[in-house]
Amino acid sequence: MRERTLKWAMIAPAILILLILVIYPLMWSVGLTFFDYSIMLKRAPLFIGVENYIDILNDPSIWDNFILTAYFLAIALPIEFLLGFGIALLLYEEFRGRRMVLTLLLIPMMLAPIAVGVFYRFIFDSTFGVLTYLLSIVGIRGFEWYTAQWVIPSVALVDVWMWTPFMVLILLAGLTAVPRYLYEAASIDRAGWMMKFRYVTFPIVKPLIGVAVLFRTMDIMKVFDTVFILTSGGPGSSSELISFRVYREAFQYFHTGRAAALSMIFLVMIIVLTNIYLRFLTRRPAEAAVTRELEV
Amino acid sequence: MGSKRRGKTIKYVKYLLIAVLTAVWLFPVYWLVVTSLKTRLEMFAIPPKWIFQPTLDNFIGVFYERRYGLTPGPTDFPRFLLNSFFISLSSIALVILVGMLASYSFSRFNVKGKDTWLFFILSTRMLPPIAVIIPIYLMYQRLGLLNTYVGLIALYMMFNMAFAVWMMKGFFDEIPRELDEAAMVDGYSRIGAFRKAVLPQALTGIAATAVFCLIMAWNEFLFAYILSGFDTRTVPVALARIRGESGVEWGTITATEVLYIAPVIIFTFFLQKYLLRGITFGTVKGK
Amino acid sequence: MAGVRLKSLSKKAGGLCPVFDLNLEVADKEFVTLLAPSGSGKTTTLRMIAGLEVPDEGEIYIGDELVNDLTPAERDTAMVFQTYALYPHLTVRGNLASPLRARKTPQNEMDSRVKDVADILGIAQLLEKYPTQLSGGEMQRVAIGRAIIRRPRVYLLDEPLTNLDAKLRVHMRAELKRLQKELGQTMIYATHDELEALSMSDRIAVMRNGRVVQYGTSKEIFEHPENLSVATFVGTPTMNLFECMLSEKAGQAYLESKLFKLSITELAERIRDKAAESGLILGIRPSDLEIHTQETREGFVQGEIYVLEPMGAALVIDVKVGEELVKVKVPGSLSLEPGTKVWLTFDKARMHIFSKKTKETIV
Repeated sequence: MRERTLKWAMIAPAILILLILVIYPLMWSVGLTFFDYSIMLKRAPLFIGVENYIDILNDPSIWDNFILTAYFLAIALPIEFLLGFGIALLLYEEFRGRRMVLTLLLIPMMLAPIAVGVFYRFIFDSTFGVLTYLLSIVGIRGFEWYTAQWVIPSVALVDVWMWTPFMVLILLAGLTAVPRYLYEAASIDRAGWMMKFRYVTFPIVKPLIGVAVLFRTMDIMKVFDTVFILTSGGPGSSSELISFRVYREAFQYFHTGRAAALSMIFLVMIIVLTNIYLRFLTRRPAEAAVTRELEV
Repeated sequence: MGSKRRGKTIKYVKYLLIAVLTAVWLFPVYWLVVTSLKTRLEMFAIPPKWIFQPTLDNFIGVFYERRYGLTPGPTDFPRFLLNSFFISLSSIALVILVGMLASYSFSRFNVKGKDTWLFFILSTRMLPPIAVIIPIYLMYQRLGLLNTYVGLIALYMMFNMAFAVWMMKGFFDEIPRELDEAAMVDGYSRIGAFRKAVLPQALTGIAATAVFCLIMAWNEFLFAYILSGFDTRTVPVALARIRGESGVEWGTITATEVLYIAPVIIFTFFLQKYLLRGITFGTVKGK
Repeated sequence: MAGVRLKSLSKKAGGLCPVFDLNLEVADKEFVTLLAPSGSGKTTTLRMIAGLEVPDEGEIYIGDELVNDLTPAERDTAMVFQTYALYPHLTVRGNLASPLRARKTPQNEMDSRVKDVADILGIAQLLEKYPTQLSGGEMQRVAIGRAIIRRPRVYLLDEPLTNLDAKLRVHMRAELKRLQKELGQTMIYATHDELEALSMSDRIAVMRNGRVVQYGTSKEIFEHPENLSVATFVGTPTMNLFECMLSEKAGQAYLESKLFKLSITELAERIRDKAAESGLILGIRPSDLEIHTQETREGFVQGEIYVLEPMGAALVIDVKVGEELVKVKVPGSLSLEPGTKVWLTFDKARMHIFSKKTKETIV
């Protein structure tokens, strides 16, 4: 009988922290969205119902933010995936130093996005940045990255640099999980490499691809640090991704209630994606593939 | 004979590609380190200087500044560095402790609604920090927790809790229940069995979890930026603020960054084995 | 040292093999085996006695003490797990000493007891090694050592020999039996191997689907199985079974089937009522059948040798009788050819008759 209390006692502190610092604030935030409130102004919050939400949905600049975020996703994700897949194929076979190569490639992922962002400004700089110099060698002169046209691709480049190794790791794990004898059996059946890919590789790797893509999508949507340090949403608002917009509304314009409303909309989107992700994970065949021991 | 020759060439091409790939990919890091060793003049040279005389001036400048017109003295950086250390280490120590108990409980006991609880915990990790930052700021403001160590440590605990619980639960799950049971039959209580039979086995896993959480706390920016003040400022925030000021001191910045990312790089090598598991939150296990 | 009594023990929930209304009494110093195929609840029962599972209903007594509410540590039992469950991070010495350390035994006493146990089990030379460095047999002995070092009231062993290779298993059977007698402790043993059960136990409790189906000595279980499942479970090769009916004509009673007609007038009394309810099943163990190459008077059935299975000391002959295969066990020295016509007979004292609804009637 003591065990009954023990098991709850052991879980309690962890749950408590999450309740106080996640659930409670979230509920507060939800409540906040129904008020006209600003930290700066010295007046009491005014109840305005769903007006915040209506304002947001009617605000064209907000739609721009969503479009920008989608644009960012559309550039970064496919590149990360294709590049990641290519590199995974390259690293598929065992060779000396493979582990070292993998570890080295994983470094970008582990660095603070802030640090990375700061330094990429140096690299991108149109006067003395090394990237500008290298581009000029191949004939692209006067590359200005901080322009409405190139700013999102530039930030996407940073994201690709940091997170393609993530794709590599997961895809590599998937590729090496395919039992070799399946390929051998396919060879005996005279299958060419394209057939092998379609019927042997792809079905097994598919759930992991799903995991990786969903994971990255959620992460990309939440991008903040990089944008903050690299562009501050500029020039103007041409790199103002959603999370950065929320930040701006809350801590630069001080539309606290409105910012909360926007963050709620954003949160709902993420929750939907998370649910898909987790449901994907717990589907039986996917689960078996994903939680197996994989050779990397 | 011919295909063998071709096989070998393909192999060499492959190795070349891999070498080039690694070099290209790590170039920014390399360039960062190199830049931090250059003088101001060399830094901005066009075309960029590849060969030069390295100098540690920038690194000294991180700790001890010599600004024109002002008396030389120590910078604020040591304080920021110490803050980063202190906050990261404390919050992680606590998270591991609290998380360890919870994850053991989830691993061993039939908790009513276990799956729901686990789902709930995992989902807290998925939410964007932006969504909670606003109310937490208000909350902290009211409780006077802004610019306090306690406030930031508690927050970082929240931040890492889900990850810690999930990772450690995975490690505990791998240890057969019979070990607990043997210990209990031997005469230990549940907690005794945990301490004596399970914990020694799980130590490497717990260490890996701790390192991962440390890295995440070390790198964290948004919460630190909003909720810290001068006294509790961490290095990422300091970096962000340097950028804002005029006359960006790239020398100091790059040196600061090199110092800041060095421990992370070192730790990454230690985490080799667990990287796959860590970055997917323990859902994918690698060997 | 104490006996164990289980009263109306029941466990249905919890994802384990369920146990229903289990009643069992183990005397002090007795070696009792729970014999059952996998999934019949014998592990569940052991775990409930140890305190690792909480029964839904029923009571467990160790000695005269009701132990339902005691933790495993308080019950003073010892358990040897099927997977040994040795602590990988401790040496053999550490593993052996663990129960003593848990009860805060002074160091010198721990050392001397560890030495004693290691000597008894012949593992003294392994004391500083780690479990990963040991062979299966060695690990098993360490597990046993860990159990006996404390002299608990009851020993519980969950299929400890299953993971050993055949020769070692046979050797350990004798060792365990000897150990038990020497220590004079109560031992409850779980296995699905009937040979182990028959050779080691004072009494055997045959379990099926969470219930005790028969409880008795080896001899009783083998020679007087109370029902069909016990009869077929124990004994290799399995008992031969024939469906038949009771027919009575002119004061004579017969067991009749397509294959045979057996006179059983003397037993008719006992069978009649049961036979009226349903059909009957006649059971004969392969070792109780005799094989003749010439026709005899008391012939039972006639058939043709189908296949010979030589097993060293013994020989199992599959005889095709009509559409059925009857197994006969004879000494290995006999030499016969497939295709030979043979006649089978048996001693009526050794036959078993079951009602079709699994009940035995006579020996």
